[in-house]
Amino acid sequence: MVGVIAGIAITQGAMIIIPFIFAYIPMILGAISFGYESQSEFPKFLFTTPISRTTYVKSKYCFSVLFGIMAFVSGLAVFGMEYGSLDFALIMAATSFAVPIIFVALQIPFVFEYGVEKEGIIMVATYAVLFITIRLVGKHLNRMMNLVQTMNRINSYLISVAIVAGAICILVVSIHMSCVIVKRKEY
Amino acid sequence: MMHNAIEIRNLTKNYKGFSLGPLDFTIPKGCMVGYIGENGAGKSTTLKAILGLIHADSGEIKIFGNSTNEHEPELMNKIGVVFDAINLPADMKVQEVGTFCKLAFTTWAENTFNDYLKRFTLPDDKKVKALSRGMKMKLSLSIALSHQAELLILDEATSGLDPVVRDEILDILLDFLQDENHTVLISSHILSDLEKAADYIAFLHNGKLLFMEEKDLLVERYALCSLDDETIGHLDPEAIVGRRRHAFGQDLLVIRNLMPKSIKLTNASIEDIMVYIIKGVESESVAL
Repeated sequence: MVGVIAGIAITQGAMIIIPFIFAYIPMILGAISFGYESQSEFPKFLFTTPISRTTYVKSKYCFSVLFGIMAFVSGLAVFGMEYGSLDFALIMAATSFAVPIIFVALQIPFVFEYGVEKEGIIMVATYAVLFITIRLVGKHLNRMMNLVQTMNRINSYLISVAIVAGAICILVVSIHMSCVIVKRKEY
Repeated sequence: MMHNAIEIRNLTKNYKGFSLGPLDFTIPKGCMVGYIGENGAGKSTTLKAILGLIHADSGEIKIFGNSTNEHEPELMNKIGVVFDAINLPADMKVQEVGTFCKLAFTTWAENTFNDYLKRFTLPDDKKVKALSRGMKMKLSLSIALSHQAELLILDEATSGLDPVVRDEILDILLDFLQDENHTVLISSHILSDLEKAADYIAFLHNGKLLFMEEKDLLVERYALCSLDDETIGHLDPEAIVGRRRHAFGQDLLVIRNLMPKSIKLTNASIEDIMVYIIKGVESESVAL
């Protein structure tokens, strides 16, 4: 499916979609994973094995980190080719890395706390935030482009590192919160 | 030298409308303990507290001398668990279950698992959702027996199974107990199974442990008799544990050695003991 969408994007000359596909996938995979587990009460079996609750929590974030890295690499390649500017590509690649990380980091603790039944509401809320953000960015696109160009002049490497570091900090906080929630839960 | 597989001290767990405990008992190594009680007595709550699936409000649980407060996941290698439902993703194939368990358990014995699959004629390529209830229990048991567990905990594992499958599972549990370091804690409503195989019976009622005794001593201690009301009036009240009234008198569960020798007594099954004791306890509550 990803390959199909990527292929369409390439043929249509809209390659900049590709990094954002990688941002989208972890949310879907996470929803599927939680859905399956909810049906079979899988954690009840899982915690009778030597797999700890902490390991279980961390496994939920694996997809977002993996696809975040893929979004970074593809973002670097795509934006670099599209705009010919490594500085700009670096910032956009860092943003592509941060998006799946931050969205999943926001969603997962809520799913652990409130359950899969509320996951639909959580996903709608996340997409609502995404939609509102895109609308705001669209309204102020020129200002955003000027901002990015200004940031380019400052130090694109520093900005990229800050974005990546910020995303990783949010991820670490999210993992910690999820561990606390899951350790407290009863199955 | 550690003699107990499980030690429970002052365990309590409170829910809205129900309180478990305080419970104090030990499960000796090398034996099968039948954990019985009516629905909602707290059996599953106790087993889940032992396994760390729920958090006790107070008290201490030790498994093989290790407190579960310092819960080490590695300890689960030594504990095999069988619930009444299999709790595996429905689309997982039997072979994939084995692969997952190989990654999860550090003491996983793949050959042992495959041997059990052959013994139970469980097809490798069948999905969990396509297995019958009996086959799911056999798969669950295969998993529990394939990681060198020393303690087996079964929670209503034989409910809903036909007598042939239940007999097969009991035989496997008795084989498991051939090793004196192995222990089985089984909660079940099918008391005839426990009568065949259990060494001890622990009886839980309304969250309180009424007794934990050797099964043989229990059966020797209690007896049944059917008497008219006049004869009953001459008996030592301490001898009567529970009663069922009917048109011609009462059926009684009595303590054998407190009864006059002249009265004919019949053996009481574990089920009789459980039912009469509960009725006896409820009658006392009503009287109060």
